[in-house]
Amino acid sequence: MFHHKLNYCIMKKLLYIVLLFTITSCADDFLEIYPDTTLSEGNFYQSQEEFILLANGCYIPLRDIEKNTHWVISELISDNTSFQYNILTGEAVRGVIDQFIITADNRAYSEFWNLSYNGINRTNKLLVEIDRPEVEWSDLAYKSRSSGEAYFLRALYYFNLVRQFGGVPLVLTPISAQEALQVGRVSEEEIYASIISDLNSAIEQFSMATQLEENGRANLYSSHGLLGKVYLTMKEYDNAEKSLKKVIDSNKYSLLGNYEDLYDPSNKDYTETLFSVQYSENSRELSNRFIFMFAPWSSKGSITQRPNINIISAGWNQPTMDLLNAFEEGDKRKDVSIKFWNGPDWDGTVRDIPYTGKFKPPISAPDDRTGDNFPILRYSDVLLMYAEALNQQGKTGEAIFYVQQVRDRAGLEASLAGFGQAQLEELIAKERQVEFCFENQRWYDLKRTDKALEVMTAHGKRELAQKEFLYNSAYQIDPHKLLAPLPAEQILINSLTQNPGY
Amino acid sequence: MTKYTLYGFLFQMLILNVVLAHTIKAQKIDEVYVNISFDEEKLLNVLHKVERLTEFQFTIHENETYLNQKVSVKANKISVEDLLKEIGSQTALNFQQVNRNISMSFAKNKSRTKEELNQITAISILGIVSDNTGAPLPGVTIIVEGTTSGTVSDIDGKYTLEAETGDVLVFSFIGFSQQKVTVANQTEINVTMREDEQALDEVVVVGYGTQKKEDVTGSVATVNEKTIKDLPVSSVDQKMIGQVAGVQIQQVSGAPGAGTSIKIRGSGSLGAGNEPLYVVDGMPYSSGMNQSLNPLMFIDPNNIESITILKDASSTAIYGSRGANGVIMITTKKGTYNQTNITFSAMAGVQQVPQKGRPNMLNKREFAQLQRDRIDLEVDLRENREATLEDYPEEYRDLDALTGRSTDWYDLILRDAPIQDYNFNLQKGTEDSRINFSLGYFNQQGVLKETGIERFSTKLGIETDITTNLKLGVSIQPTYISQQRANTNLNREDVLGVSIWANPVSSPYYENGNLKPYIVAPQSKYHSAWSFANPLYVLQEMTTEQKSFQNLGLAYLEWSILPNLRFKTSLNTILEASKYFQYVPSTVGGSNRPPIAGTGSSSNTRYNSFNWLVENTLNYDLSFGDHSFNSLLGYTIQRFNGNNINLNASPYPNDLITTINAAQAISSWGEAVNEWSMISYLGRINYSFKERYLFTATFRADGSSRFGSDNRFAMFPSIAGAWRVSEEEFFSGVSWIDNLKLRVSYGKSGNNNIGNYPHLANISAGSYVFGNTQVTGSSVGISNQSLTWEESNQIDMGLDFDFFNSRAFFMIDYFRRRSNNMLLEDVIPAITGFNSQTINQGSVQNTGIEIALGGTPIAGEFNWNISGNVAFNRNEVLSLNDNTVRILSGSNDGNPTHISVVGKPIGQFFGFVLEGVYTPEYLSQPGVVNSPQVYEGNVKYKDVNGDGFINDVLDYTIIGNPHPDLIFGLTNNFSYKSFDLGVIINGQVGGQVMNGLRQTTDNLQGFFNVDRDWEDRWRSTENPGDGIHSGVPKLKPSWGHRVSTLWVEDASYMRIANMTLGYTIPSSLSDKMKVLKSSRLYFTVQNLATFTNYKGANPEGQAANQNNTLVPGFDMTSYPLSRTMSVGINLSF
Repeated sequence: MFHHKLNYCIMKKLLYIVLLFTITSCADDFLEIYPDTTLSEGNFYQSQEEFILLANGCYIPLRDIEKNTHWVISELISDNTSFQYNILTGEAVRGVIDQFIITADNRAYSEFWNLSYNGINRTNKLLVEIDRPEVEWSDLAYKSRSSGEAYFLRALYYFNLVRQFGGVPLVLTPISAQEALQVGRVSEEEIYASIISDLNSAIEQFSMATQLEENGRANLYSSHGLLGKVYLTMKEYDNAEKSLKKVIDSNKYSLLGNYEDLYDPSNKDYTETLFSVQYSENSRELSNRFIFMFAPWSSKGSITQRPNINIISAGWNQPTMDLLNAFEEGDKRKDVSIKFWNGPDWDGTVRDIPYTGKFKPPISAPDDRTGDNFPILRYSDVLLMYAEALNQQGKTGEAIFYVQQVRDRAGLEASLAGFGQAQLEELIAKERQVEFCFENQRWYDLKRTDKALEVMTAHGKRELAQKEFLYNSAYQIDPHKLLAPLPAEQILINSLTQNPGY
Repeated sequence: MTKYTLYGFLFQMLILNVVLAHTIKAQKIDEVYVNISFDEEKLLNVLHKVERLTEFQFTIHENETYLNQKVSVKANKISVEDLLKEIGSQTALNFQQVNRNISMSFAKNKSRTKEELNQITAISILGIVSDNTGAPLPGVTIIVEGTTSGTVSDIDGKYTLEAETGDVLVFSFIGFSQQKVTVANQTEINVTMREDEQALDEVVVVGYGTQKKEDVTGSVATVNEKTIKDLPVSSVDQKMIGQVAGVQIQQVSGAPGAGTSIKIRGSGSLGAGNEPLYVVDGMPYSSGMNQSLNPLMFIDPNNIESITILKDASSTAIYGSRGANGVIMITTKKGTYNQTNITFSAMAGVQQVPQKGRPNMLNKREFAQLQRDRIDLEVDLRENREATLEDYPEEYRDLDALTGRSTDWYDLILRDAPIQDYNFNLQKGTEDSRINFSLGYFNQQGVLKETGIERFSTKLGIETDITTNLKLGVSIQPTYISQQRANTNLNREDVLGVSIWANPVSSPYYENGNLKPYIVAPQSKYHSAWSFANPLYVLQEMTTEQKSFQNLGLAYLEWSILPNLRFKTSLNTILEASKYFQYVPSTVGGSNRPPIAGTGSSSNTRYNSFNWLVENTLNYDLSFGDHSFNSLLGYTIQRFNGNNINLNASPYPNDLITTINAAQAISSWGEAVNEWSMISYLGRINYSFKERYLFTATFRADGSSRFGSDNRFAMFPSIAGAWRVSEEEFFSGVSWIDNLKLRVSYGKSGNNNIGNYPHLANISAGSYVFGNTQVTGSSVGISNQSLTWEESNQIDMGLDFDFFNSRAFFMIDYFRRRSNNMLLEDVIPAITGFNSQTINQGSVQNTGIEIALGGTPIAGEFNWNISGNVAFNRNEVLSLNDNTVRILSGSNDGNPTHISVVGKPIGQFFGFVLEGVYTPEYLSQPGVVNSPQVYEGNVKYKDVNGDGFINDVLDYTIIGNPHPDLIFGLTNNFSYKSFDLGVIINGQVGGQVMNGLRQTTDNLQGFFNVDRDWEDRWRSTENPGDGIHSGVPKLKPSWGHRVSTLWVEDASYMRIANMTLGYTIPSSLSDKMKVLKSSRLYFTVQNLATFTNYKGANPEGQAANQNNTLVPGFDMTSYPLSRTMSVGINLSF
């Protein structure tokens, strides 16, 4: 009897314990935790809202490329700019590129490469996911616009890559690390074919979403304009002419009356500017700090108007004598583009030190955040490219009209009538040099027009004669340097073929 | 109340079969009735049954043969007295009740001779038993040898006993050596018990329970609390240094409150950390190293009762996915039943930075010469002429005037700093409740000015029996810490870095004696050294403080369903809140960055977290015949939630108000929320056969939110066996061996420090702006759904050996730990859009031998105890991932400093091999490739790949190994009468350290001051120096300060970690003071001396911003370890 009672008691007690052990039987719910501060992919793609976010995200790497890197390998490298020497920093990443000492381990190239492919992956991801059937679109035009933006930006990323490196790996869908190991470089032609195809797709998509255009976003005409530039680079002048004409004929864009207004961060331009990288002083992430990089470091706060910001590592993109001399007498653009600061130079001697005038100190930010947009494609560029395409096809007379428009605005109103084809070609090249100085066009223009070696050799001689602090190996102008080296670590990881000479 | 008495009680509470000896109102054996019947049952089993049915305990030694006698009783209701009488009649045993305890003896059937009978006179003896500090020892069993008559000392250590002249009294107590006293004619026998350092019957805390040391099958080490009690340090990890074989505790920084790096059995992970799991009172507390603030700072070492280190997989597998790096179990103090004890301890001392390890830089004149050499070169290069005096800054023109003391910037920012520690502890126990209360205050000023830490700690613990089989316990442990930090262990820009390379010619003070905020280096048009912020001024003006509060909470209910079936449910919580504030005023500049008004900036972080754990465990014990089982089942559930908000504000128009409201803008901000949860099932069976063959099997299944849903539960099994050879019959003749045990174990444990959400492809949000419209821009990350824990499989074989009456011991363990599925940050092709991805791949193996040995060579009034340990570990990377044959890590001038490759230990030093300088003889050889860096006097590195050119990385090779060949510890304790002396020595043999600051202090470009070794630099063809140290570089960029063999130094060291001299006031004296039970005074020196060839401050230094696993042994501006001299007093009332 007693035994039974005892056993019963124990059984009852054990039952309680078993119950306690299984109180949280819904273990899966308990173990399912998603981050509060970020979204995750599982339940992301629901409506157009998400794709607008993804499209916005495709612009972000471009902003970072232009902020830190692109100017080093497309403007500083050219004859337009140099840097103010600094006995304290002796900076070896950017300084060597100015001196045409180009090596595969230079961080500028790896940064540019990584950010470009990061941007490409963002566009690939968007283009793959946007066709999910479950996505609810309240207005399909948003789908077109977002696709158009992705196509446009992918084309732009590849256009920059191919102009720097030549043929690169062509990645058009999201790939895994394992898949990436199988992807090698393709020819320049294939990359250009892909760029043209993307831009045509962009044009197709944007034309279905013209009502959704917004200042700052890529649109139908920026796509036409970029396509024109691509064709021009490929020397397909006929196609270039056609694409660019679409922009001109749209009458949507025009030259600003005053060149200086293009560079007013308080009143950003969308009349002449077809596409620009957008910056804002609102936050560190959104801002650039161009003036804090480009002012002479010895000027401290007097140019940046922020005496509280140390700019010891500034002094970049300093206009060279070559650039200064390129401006014609009376060119109104000179005073806008190039300013002088009178003060001690790197060696303590007081001089008039030139610096880039297109970029302005912050308007309201108390620190080194500036909000100047960075132009990628302007109407004056469209006009000059159009003129060049015409001129190259022998339509010099027709071309002069467009060159004249640009020169008129600069106060160079002398008639160009009577210019021959070669003469106009030379004039357009010079026009482009001064019109777009500090806008990351010069190096590509030199390469495109096959003038790079000639111009850089002359520039190197002048620099070597002027500056005593240059490296011993400065300005060795070898033809192989027209193509940038693939980043050394990518060669190692991905077994890519290096460009010859590196 | 010493720890040993406490130990004794703990032991007695948990293990049956031992005297239970409180002075309590026990029931009488004639008042207690039982229902019991048995037939031809072994006496031992019968006695166990009685124990289970009643509150009585029998004093027996289980292996005695008389316990195997068979007895039979049939009764429905019988008093215990009658039962025992019946058993006595069947076995010829006498029983005697002392409180709850029943002892037994053979009925004296030996007939005595007449003479003997005449001589025998029973004497009533009384006396006091005390420990060596004079404190009375309650609960000591006193037995007349050869009989089973005896008694137990009461709460005041007093006892009375009947004995006869010539009888031998045996005094025994857990944790103390047995004492024998022969009775002469005296009626008072007072005995002082000596603590037994290697007590066999020690109870060790293991995962989810305790075990008798002799029953342990795994590799488990305990720290002798007495040895480390009075060390003047802030946290328990620092006290453990040198105490346990195979536990490498590196003091990577000497900053007050800085964390240590602890590795148990080497580095087993590449990407998830190598720090062990701490378990405080059952709560998995923290793992991972925090160099800024040691998580163990929150546990006042004065409150710690015991420390156990679980090393092998059989003991760590019960902690499943958190056990792979070993487990350190910390148990805090509880009160004692039926006793009131008050203790107070105080310690105060002073800390100093030893002369050894301070930098030895160029003096004024030598530095000026270096500047002139540099300018000479520049003038020659630029203007192709010889420099004249006018080319030099004025300060350097007259070398002969540059005599006298140079500015010692390093010394300027150091000071002698006080340290103090106070602790008050009250323990009060009644028959069924006990309470423990303590208050502590610790204050350590840093030897680096303006740094320090302060701790206020409290603990309150209550445990009470609600009913006879239901026990409730609650404790809270709130701690508040306030810490003043300075940036150190980072880079040449931190205060210590600057103080080492700062210009020795400049003075830190203006002529009026005020401190200069910023030191402008003497300038020349051709060259000047770096200007810098005065490091002392930076220390004074900059604020960096952390204020943290933490409470450890514990509540539990223990229910003895049956005497051998116990259920326990507990709730552990950790509540933490902290606040970090840094303000850099505008008067503080940087290198070449003079202070600019209106640039003040602040950084604020607010953190709070809550971590709760519910554990339910069921224990069941069963013994029959030669078999004994002890089993455990458990179910635990845990959740953590942490939240971190960070605001950076700048600029401040002035430095008058430093709160955020005074800033012009919040320049950046962020919030992080971290959550994880875990559900675990665990079980263990201990089985012993004849107490000789021991077997343990454990199992744990961890379900974690950190693992993807496909991989949610991880299983961690282990098995272990032990053979107590010394218990075998064939061993009974070997009397000098007390214990010989062979152990072997194998099991699996894991490492889940893989981050909270890495398996999810998160959508990261950025911002973009269109015109003036700010928008969010998203991008999709790269996911790894199969991401999972790291897994570690370990085999361990060991031998425990105690001999010479437990006066000596020897322990050896061999282990092999193989870690698989390691978490790697894999470098992937950038064309994927990403540069790296977290994956599980690769394996690392640690193989080693650990030896601990020691003993008591001299016992008696003069007592000498010695124990030592040594551990050898070989670390080897067995495999890495598919597309990476090596992992490069660390950073110097954009180049790596460390490499991990298959077949070598993790994190080898990687750099150039220095061959000296280019000589004219070398350069005149045919075939020398004439690259720009090849010129006489320039540094010559080895052309490792043989291509004729010297290139970064391509010509790097393995240039050193940070892992020591062996680590050792040696502890000596001497005592003579009331004096005691303890010496702790620890160190390592082999292993190297890389001094990262040499990028600066070996940099001859003239920007910085350099090490005095550079006085032997190449100066000219006629004056080529020592052939190792190159000349001032002619070219920029210069090669001279690349990572090379020059930076790698031997890290072997031996440190006299502690020496303590103590004096215990004799009990005769303290008795007179009535209230005082015992008191002890001591003088102690921490870090008395370090013997090493390393020239830097600390051979264990580690840069705070470098990964401790992949970039080990990288010393950077290490906060020096101080030598602490202090005096202390411990009082017990």
